[in-house]
Amino acid sequence: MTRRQSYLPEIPAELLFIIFQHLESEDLTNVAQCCRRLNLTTVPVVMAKAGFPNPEKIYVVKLGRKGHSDELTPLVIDITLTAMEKFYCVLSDKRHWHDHDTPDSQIADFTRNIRRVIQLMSRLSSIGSMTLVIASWGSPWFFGREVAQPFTDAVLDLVKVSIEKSCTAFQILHSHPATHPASVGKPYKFEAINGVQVQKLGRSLTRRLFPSLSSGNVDFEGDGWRYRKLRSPTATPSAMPVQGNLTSLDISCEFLLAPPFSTWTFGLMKSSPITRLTLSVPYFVAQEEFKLYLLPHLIAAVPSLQELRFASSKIYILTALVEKLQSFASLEKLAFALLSSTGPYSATPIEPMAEAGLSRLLSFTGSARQAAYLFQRSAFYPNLQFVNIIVDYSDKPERADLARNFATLNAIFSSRCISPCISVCLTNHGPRLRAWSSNIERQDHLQARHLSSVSRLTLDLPRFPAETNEEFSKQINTTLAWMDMFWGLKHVTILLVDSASIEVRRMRMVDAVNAEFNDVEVSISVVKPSLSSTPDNRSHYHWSNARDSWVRGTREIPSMPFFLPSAADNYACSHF
Amino acid sequence: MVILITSDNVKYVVEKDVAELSVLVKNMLEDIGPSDEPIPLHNVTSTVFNKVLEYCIYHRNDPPPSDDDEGCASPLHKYLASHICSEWDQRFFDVDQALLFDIILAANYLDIKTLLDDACKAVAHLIQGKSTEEIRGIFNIVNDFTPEEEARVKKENVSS
Repeated sequence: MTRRQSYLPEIPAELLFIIFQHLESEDLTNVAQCCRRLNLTTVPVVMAKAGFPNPEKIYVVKLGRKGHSDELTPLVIDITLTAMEKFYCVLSDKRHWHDHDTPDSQIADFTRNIRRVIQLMSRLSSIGSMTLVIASWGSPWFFGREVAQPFTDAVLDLVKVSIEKSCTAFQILHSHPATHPASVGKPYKFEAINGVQVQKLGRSLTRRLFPSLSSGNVDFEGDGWRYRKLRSPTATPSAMPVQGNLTSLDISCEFLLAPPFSTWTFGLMKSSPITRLTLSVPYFVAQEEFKLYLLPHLIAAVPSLQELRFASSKIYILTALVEKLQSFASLEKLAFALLSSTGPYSATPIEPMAEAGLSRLLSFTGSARQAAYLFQRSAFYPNLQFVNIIVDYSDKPERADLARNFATLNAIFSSRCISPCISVCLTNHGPRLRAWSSNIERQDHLQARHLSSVSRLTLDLPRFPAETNEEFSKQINTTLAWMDMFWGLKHVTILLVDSASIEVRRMRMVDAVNAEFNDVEVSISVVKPSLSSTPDNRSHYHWSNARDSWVRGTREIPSMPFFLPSAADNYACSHF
Repeated sequence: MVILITSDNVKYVVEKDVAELSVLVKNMLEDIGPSDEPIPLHNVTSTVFNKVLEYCIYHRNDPPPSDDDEGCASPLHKYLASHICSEWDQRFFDVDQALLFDIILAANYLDIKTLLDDACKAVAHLIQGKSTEEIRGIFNIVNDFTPEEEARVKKENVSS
């Protein structure tokens, strides 16, 4: 008996869907590759199963291991996909970690998956914005290894293809255990030729560890500084970046900011009209290195920068940036990531630098200490309108410090005859904020005088379980006590944890605030209980007070079920 | 007793409770009221209807399917439900594909949910664990991708 007819592709779509309900994604992926009609009917089912009904708008891809289909597979075989507005691509070795994996095989796996993404991208007509997250928690990162070169080639190719597809925003986050002794380390050594030799001890150690390194082995040199290669072989960029339309760039990736790749990165900035830059300076960058090499090149590379978000864990890097900030002549928005270290920026009174003006600056976001330093050090900023201060527990602010920094800010703003709108977001203090609140004393009210310049306040007290009415009454009292510290308040946003009686509580809170502060506008922001802050689970974060580069870089990525929940857009003070 | 006539003019006399497993027939009986009028089944041939009838008679005493089964069933439950059929069902669906897909179409037309589900499950069973090439072979599917699409699909196969 011969049967040349094929029945499966011919039956109505609604019946196909019933069949597909009984199949796993892997089987569906195979079906999708049979013929056009089956492709058209299966791909949407696979997408929906993965939780992405509209692949053109947003796609989060979490790539899997060799031999397994993953979220990328249906995208790759989706013959109807022609363009993407936002493409989030998350590569993680956390997903499948096997004992027999080696760091080399992990890196090779990343490389293979980046190549698959490139293959997908290259057939699309356009990509609006591209985010590449490489989370190598398991693999120590060796840039001296042979596998590094194909990996860096793939990353650079991905940037190139994105640009060719008229991508306007590119983000790269390469997260790995930096403190791991066997991790990237420095693939190079920075030396200032004229002047003090940086890290002499480090150099002698290097000589002992790398005897083959001759003193004449200088790999990169310029204006009074030079770099030496420490490891051999080291991956190098294979091609220079292409001309493109990138206006927004977000780099939190150590190897792209270290030679020899930093040359490539600056080339990328120069060949695109970048107006928005987010930068995380690697922990190993020394003061001299930042001052003499990174910063000057950065200034030259993004001459028309309007928005800068800057993260560094070192005070001396931040202060070095402030010294040169006027070089970004078009800068309108500036945000600093909060430092986790304590201590003042400078023991001596800070003198303004002559001519050091921020003539276009509209808004600043950061800690009170950072704001006080920035605005003391800069000579003028006539257009400043918004100062957003985040008082986060991780910055370990003392109430006295806060008042002192505000005193400084107030004095300097009044001497310069400007009165920007100052907002404060008090958050992530855990039980500490309660302690802060319970002992507000007279002396504090004297300090509070300095807080009178604050016109907008966000109070995040959701760690009050508020299960009983008594607890909730306490929360109301704490809220009022805090508001009492801010004499000039015009608007307050209060966060309440969602509960069965939320509507009643909302009204009680609003009534209580209105009764005591009738000139303050109140808004209530209801948060899910799962997002309420506990001391270990800080969830109220903006870019500036995110715990680390990982949270900073992934907070805007929707639906990352196997990582921390993204709390972005859950708070009324999201403009921070 | 209900009288049913298939598209090739074969007359069947079926017990009412068996015939009413088909929602289509049930609705028609309600519409016409008590009468001896035969009910025409335009889209079903006698070959296919023999099978359908066999299924309905065997399953006449099964509890009716409930709609909220899907929602509360555990993943394990669902897995078992889609992978394990009774021996009778397995033998019942061990037919050539033309007939299997005709059963699906007939079950859809006659609106017999359990038969439709079971028949679809049987088709899914043919697909489970098979490669693209094997699926094409089993169902005689002609590869009609353009060369460009084909290259793309192939590449993904090689790389993953």
